[in-house]
Amino acid sequence: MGEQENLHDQIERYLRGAMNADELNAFEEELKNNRKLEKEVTLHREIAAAALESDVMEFRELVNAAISEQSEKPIILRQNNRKYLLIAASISILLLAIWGISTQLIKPSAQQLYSSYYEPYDDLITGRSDRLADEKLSEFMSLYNQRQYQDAIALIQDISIAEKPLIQLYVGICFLNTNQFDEAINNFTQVSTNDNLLKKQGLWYLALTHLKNNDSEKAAASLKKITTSKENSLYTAKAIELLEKI
Amino acid sequence: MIDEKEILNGILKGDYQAITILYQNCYPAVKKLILKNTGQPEEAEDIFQESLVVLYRKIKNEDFKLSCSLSTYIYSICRNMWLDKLRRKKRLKKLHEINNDYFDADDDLFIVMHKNEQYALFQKHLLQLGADCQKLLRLFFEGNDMKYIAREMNYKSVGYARKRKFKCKDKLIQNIQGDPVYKEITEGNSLDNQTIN
Repeated sequence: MGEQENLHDQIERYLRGAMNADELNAFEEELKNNRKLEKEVTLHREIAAAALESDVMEFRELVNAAISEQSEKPIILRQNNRKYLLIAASISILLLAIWGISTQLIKPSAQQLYSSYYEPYDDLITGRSDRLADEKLSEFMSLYNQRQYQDAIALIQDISIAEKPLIQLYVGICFLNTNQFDEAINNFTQVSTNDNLLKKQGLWYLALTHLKNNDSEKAAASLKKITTSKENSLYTAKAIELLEKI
Repeated sequence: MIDEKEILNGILKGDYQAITILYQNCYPAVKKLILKNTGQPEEAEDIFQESLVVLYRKIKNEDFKLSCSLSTYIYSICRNMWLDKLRRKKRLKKLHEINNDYFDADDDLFIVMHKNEQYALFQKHLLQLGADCQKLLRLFFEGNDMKYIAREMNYKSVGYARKRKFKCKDKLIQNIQGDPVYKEITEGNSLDNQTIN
């Protein structure tokens, strides 16, 4: 056992209360006089406490997802803009009504719907300071952002965190864009079943994959799962809209 | 007008909609303050995110009672966190306020804020380890013995499990200590022996 490993072992036995009386006395005596050791013990104790806060980590992820989603849409109506917005809204409703009638007559194909609704999921990794990624993941995100999806797929095989749901979502999008539907479906299914926070994103891209693959029935089934979920999100509105067109 | 009691319950349950409502009601003022005081939009988002985690910790661990409106409370946490960051980075000359509706954090809130910052850093590095290391360390921190851990992890021997545990933990500690934020935090405050209650 090396020196550092021995130190870890001692600290862990101290924190777990696994030392005998003599060892404990000697260790506590050392602690009183050794500020560096005291700091090391505190660090080990605090890391263990932090690691067990799975609820806090989940909550932080949830907030992160909500902020990322919300920051994409405007949130405040200024008082002096309301009049113009009301006029614009009225015009929009009128145009939507006309458009609605016309779409009843000409139903778009699954692939046309895919083209209208597909857009790549925003990069939530590169810009945020709490997601300092390793070099390969950064390279993967860079290829993803440049839409070099096949190169991104080749690179992701080596990344150890490829099984994380957020990364799986990006990997699925790479497969979707290179028409590797089975792989895309596999990734999105895993995201939608294994991760509560990205469930709707997983289902949304799963639906788009089925659309691109000309399988409107399966696309509709995925969209229905979004619309019947208790929580509302941006995807609920989009899913309802798309379902009506299928 | 937001129903604060309902929102606080929602936060405690991890309700997505409660977070969204807080974002829509509170974030604009926070962003304005931070951008007006040398911050960037990503920093404003990070501060807002952590203010909600601090709120979650406060509601979870105490008989939490608001002495002001919820939006004032969140704004005040963010203002205090940003002030603290600016002081530590020596970027603070004079804070340009955007309103007077805030309070200065008391000692209890400061302890939670600082500990939250420290734990967030530890958790960030923990989540950046490989899945195997994360699982191994979680089993170890939960207090399981190495025999049980070796079996759970499908390792060939207890000795190998010990070696892996040391390597994973050592890597985690090195990554934490090598993070500039860790230096900033440990040099900036002396709360080493206080724990979050």
